[in-house]
Amino acid sequence: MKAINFGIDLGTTNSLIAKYDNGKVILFKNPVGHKESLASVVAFRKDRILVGDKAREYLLKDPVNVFSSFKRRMGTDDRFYVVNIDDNITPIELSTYVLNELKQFVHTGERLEAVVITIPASFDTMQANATKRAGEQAGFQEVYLLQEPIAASLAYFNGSNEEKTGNWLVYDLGGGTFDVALVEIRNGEMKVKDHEGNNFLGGVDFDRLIVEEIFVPQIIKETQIADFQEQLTNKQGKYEKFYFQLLYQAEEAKKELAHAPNYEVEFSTEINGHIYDFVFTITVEQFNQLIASKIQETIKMLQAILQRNHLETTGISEIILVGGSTLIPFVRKQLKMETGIPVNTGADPITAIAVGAAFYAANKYYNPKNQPDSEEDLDNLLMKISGSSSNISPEKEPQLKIDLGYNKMSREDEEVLLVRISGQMEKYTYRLVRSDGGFDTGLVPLRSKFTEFLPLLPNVANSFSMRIFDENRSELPALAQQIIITHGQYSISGQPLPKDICIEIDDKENNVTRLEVIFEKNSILPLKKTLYREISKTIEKGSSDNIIINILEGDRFARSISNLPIGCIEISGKQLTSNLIKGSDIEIQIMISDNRELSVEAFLVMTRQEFKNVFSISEKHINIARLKEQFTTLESEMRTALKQFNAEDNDIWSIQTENLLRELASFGDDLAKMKEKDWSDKRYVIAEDISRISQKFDKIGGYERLENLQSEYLHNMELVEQTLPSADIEKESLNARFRRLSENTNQVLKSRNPAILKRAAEQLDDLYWDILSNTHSHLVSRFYILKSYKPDMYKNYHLAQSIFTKAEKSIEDGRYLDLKRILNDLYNLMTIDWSVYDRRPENFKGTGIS
Amino acid sequence: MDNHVQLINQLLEIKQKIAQEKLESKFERNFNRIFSIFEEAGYLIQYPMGEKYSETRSDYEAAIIGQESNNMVVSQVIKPVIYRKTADSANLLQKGIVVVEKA
Repeated sequence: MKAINFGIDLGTTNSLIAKYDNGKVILFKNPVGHKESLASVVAFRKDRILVGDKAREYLLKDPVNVFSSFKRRMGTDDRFYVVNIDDNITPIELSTYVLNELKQFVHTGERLEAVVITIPASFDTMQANATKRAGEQAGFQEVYLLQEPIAASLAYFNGSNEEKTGNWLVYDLGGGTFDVALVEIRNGEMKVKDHEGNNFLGGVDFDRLIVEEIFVPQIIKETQIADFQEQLTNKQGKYEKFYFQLLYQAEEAKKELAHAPNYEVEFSTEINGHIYDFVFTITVEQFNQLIASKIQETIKMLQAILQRNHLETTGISEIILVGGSTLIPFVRKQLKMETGIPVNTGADPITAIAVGAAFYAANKYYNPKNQPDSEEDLDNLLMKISGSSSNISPEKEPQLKIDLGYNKMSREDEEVLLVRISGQMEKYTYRLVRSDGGFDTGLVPLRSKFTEFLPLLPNVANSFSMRIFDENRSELPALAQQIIITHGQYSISGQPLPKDICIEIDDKENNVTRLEVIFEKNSILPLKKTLYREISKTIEKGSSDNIIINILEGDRFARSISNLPIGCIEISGKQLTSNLIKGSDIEIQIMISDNRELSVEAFLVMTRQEFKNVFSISEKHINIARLKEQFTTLESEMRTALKQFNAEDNDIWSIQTENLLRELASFGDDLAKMKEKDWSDKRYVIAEDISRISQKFDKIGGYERLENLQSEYLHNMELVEQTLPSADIEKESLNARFRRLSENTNQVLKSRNPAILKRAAEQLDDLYWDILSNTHSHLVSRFYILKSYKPDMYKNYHLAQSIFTKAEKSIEDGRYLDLKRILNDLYNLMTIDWSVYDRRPENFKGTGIS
Repeated sequence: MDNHVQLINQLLEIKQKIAQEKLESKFERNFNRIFSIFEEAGYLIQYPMGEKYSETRSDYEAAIIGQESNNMVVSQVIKPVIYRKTADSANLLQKGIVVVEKA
């Protein structure tokens, strides 16, 4: 025996599927469009069958092939003639389509062998049996039926420990139908005693009323078009297009008025060549007045039930709400006011029936026909792991051979899939769905050879599943195919970039520049991108200061000097029409054509000036001032490293660095003398040599140096993590700084570049010291250390002494911010030259872009 | 609903209004910038205006105007289609709402 656990709300307009799992109910979402509900509509298009929202699109336009509300016809001998398939179809078959579609929602890979399906209280035996048959035709071995009011009551009462007894009213006002039922609970048994309903009363009627009674009069008033109403609602009338826009606005207004006193309707549209802007307010009172008569009608039906059953309102414990339209506050208020019966709002009225059905299913058991043996259990388990769903036993799998042909990489908006099938496939169908839910072919008859155009989302791996169904529309899991097409990269048709293309931008915190990737290595040409950046320094009109847009090819993690400069635009103060203020925006558009021609366009938003340049990548473009800065940065980095290697007694690395430093220095003089106007080849020769030295320097120490730097970086990271919680001042900004630095950990470690690792370790070290200087206990101990220094350590010891007194007073009064400032004064009084400890290069000009 | 999705809906509505007033070119740069910010944050916005209607596109809900035909295009976008990119795939955040009619 096995618990059924699955419950289905097979609704007139929408259907849902839920599962009871360990005390909780899970509602399965539609993998196509990710809604919890499925529109109960089936469309027989010329070449495919659609079920759900997509089918509903054709409802008004193709009524001879699209069917909805067939639940009302269950149990009748009605047949619908479908023009496109030249055949008749029964309400049972249509319901089977909906049930089969709901089975596709279950992503857990379980076999759905038994189910509880809900039916309205008004269903007679014929209608109930018809529903059961639809379930059986959908492949369920066992089908239990449950009345909708009972299901709703279960959703409300399960979870409450209180023993229930008495009468309840279940008030179900959905999108298109209304039902009210009297439910009695005696000795733990629940039954529907009476019910009433109207199959044409629901939320869509309210939307229509808003359009017709509020929107249309306003529009007629403003446009003076007398026959507007007629042209709006007539099939293929002049303003039919406008009607859908208005309906959408009405639905939005209805939702908003559920929690706001008024809603401002605002839309623009063109009518007879004239653009109208409509702005008007709907108040909740107006809306309530509009729907009041409809709600009154439902209350009359409710009262009729009470009268028929000789019950006073005091004889009813509560009114239970079901259906989306019961979310309207006016409905709840009127029910309470007119009947005096408490209204229970404890469950989600939209999902209550499906949830109740799942609760019921948890206590219903069935005997699986083919009790799986241990081997089959393993198969089932493997299927669950692979995520494929299976509603059919493996022995039924037919002998079909499927060959797929498609490009695995593409830069097109869509790709064609070629399918060849051999074997017996009569009455079989296939369905192709994109995993994000944005594409669904519906059920299409299987043919020996066919194509499908698969739309692709840009720059992601587009994953499609192709599933095959037998004549009963049960899936044949062994035939399922997975198709993955990566869009944007690695196309075989285009030419890939051999290296990263980067832009050099300023890192003002550290007075250095860094590279930001524009196009990644292996991206396919042609490429285009617009960068939005800020100007990092103010440039005065007429000055010789400039902005440098430097485009480089190479490794994004390397030092800019190690990369090949392929394009450079310099914008000088002399070219500006007004001052360019720091922080103003610059837009840089970079394009690389198929033949690797680089075009750069810069737009200064503040001065509204545009600068363009096209470079052939065979030419280099080097700015001398920038080259000088790069030289200085590299030299300083090498000197710091040399000091460290010496301190660690690492003679080999020291000698190698010294040699490189000497080599670098040999270019220093020539570079210092070089003027921007020098158009000889010298700048290129020097740039090339510096680049070579930079790359050689990075290679010193090889793997061992990288290891050391990685552990230094991780050690500093740990130190910061440990000390950060003890900070007392500027805690938030220190935390934010740490977050910023730790975000890059992965990239820093992956870079395998000593320069990057070193800089990152230094940034963490700086942060560590800043944390300490914002920690009360550290400030105090630091003060006592400074106080203990000999008088000759201070430029003016007398002044220092008076500062000591101030500091002691601050400690006494707990004024630590003052203490921090006083400590700075003391440092400045010392005879030590602090500037040598500043890692940042002086007079940094950079690129002017951050 | 995701606040960013609502923000995108509002921006596209503003863009549409500006286009109706034929002032689109004045704001093109600003809109490009705004949408590039959303793109960097992982949002993929599709505005299917003028595209051929396909019944296999399940990322929008369409209202068909006039006679049904084999050659229908999206003539109005009431809500755009919005995806959110994950590591290497995408999720549908908002289904579009469109009006389609004979081309």
